[in-house]
Amino acid sequence: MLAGLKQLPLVSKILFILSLVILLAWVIPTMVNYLKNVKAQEEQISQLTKSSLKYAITVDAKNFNEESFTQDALKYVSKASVKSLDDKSYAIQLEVDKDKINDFNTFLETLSLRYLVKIISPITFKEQEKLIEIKMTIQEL
Amino acid sequence: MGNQQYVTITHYKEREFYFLNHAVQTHDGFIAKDMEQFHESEKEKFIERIRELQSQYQESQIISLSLSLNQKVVDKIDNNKASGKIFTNNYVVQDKIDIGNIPTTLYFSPFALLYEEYKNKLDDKLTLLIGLFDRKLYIMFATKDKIHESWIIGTRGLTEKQVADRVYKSMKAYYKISYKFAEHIEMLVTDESPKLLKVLREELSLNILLKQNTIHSLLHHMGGEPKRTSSSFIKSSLSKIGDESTIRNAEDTFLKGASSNNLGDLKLNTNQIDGNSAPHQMKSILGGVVVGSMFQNLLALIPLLFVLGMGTFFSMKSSSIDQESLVMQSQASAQIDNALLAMTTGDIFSAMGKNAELKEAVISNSKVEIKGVVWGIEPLRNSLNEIYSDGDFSIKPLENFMTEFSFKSKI
Repeated sequence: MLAGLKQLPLVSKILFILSLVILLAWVIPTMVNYLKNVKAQEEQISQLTKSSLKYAITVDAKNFNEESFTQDALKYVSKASVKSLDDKSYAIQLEVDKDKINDFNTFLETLSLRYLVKIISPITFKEQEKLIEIKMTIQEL
Repeated sequence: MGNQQYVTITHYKEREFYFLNHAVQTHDGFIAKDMEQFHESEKEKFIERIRELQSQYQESQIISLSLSLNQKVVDKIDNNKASGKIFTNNYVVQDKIDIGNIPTTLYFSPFALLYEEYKNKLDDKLTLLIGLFDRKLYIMFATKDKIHESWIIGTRGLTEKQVADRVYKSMKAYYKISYKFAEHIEMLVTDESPKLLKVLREELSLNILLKQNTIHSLLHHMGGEPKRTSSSFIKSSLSKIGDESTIRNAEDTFLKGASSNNLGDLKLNTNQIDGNSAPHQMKSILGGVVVGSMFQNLLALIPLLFVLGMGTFFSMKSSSIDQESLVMQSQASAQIDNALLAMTTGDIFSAMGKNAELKEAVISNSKVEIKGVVWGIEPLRNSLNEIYSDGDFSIKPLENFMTEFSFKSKI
């Protein structure tokens, strides 16, 4: 093979060597990186699927939508409002009966399985006459 | 009664044709007559015509050109081969004289013609002399005292541009074996092809001086003077003119020896001898220097394109999956954070139970701060300390006989 390569014209040799260099320096590392990412992604999908099954959520997480979010929240809390902030952030204000605080906890556990958001502030709770007012800020992923 | 003029009758064979010409030699040069052409099937007629001219002019020489592939310029005369002296200590030798049974009195090598054409231009600097005879390049590297190297390159089936490319490659080939570049290049083209001349002028360096002359004219010139004539024609020491079987043997011998030529892809091979053979056609497609190079370059492009394609494909896929992974990773991370927050909230409210009433709480995954009214101080303290052992629990009596508690802890 080497003897055959030696007999090739200079341009052909350069092209073959260039191919080899690109293969080793770029293609193979990119391919390995891609395969690693595929594996990592599969693990993440598996983890999220497991969590979704736990809460019987069958749909993939969607982008945040104020209207849709409010409707979903009202299934768990008595009042819900959303105020848009800068940088794809939203101030969320909820109200829940003190005795139904576990409903809020369920909503909280499933929040990122339903919407591509994360909570970026501490959650504040204020109790007034058996009702708990909850405030937090979320941001789109 | 024959004509007393001195006449040179020249002939050579190119492809399937014999070309015949005669010229009257005068003190001011020769006066050539019309060229005659005979198909190889008319060989007898051709020979008859030579005999006719020979009888017509009593003083004549019948001159032909050796287009044999096995001739080479060497330093020493070889008594076992047909040889002709080019000049001091340089001889052109070939295995046999190969003109069949065609009358010939003088037989010259293209190398001798080339030397004769350019000998007055030679000096101490290395000069590359190139002659294009019958679609073969006869190449010599010479100084005024020596011919250093010679070889023959076939150009059959090549375009004018490819011929020019071969000339260029011959210069590089010589550099490979001698590490010297010719400082001056002369080229003699015998094909009457204006297109070839034009392309050679365009493709080659301007330093290459081109000259065009016909083989007949060159041969008439060689036969014009006794000094020139006697000095460089090829004399046979072994074979008689007309022994065609020895010619074939000679060619076979040459072909066997061709592998010793170290000029790489420029060396001659069987394909150039038999241009109509299937191997020759294959050579012109796959193996010829220029066509082969282009073909090989195109072949070499395939892995490069394939590698680039693969790289681009995986790069795009990787970039796309990177983006998806990033979102999924953030989502998974947010999900875990939310679950922890829910767990902390649940624990806090559970710890307070009926022992306290919440006024205000700030809960995150790094700390909790709770403030409220406590009914059962110790049960609340115990419950909270069970969850956060390092927490700071404090109480404060209120005016209405109630007790306010506050609890802070890092998680």
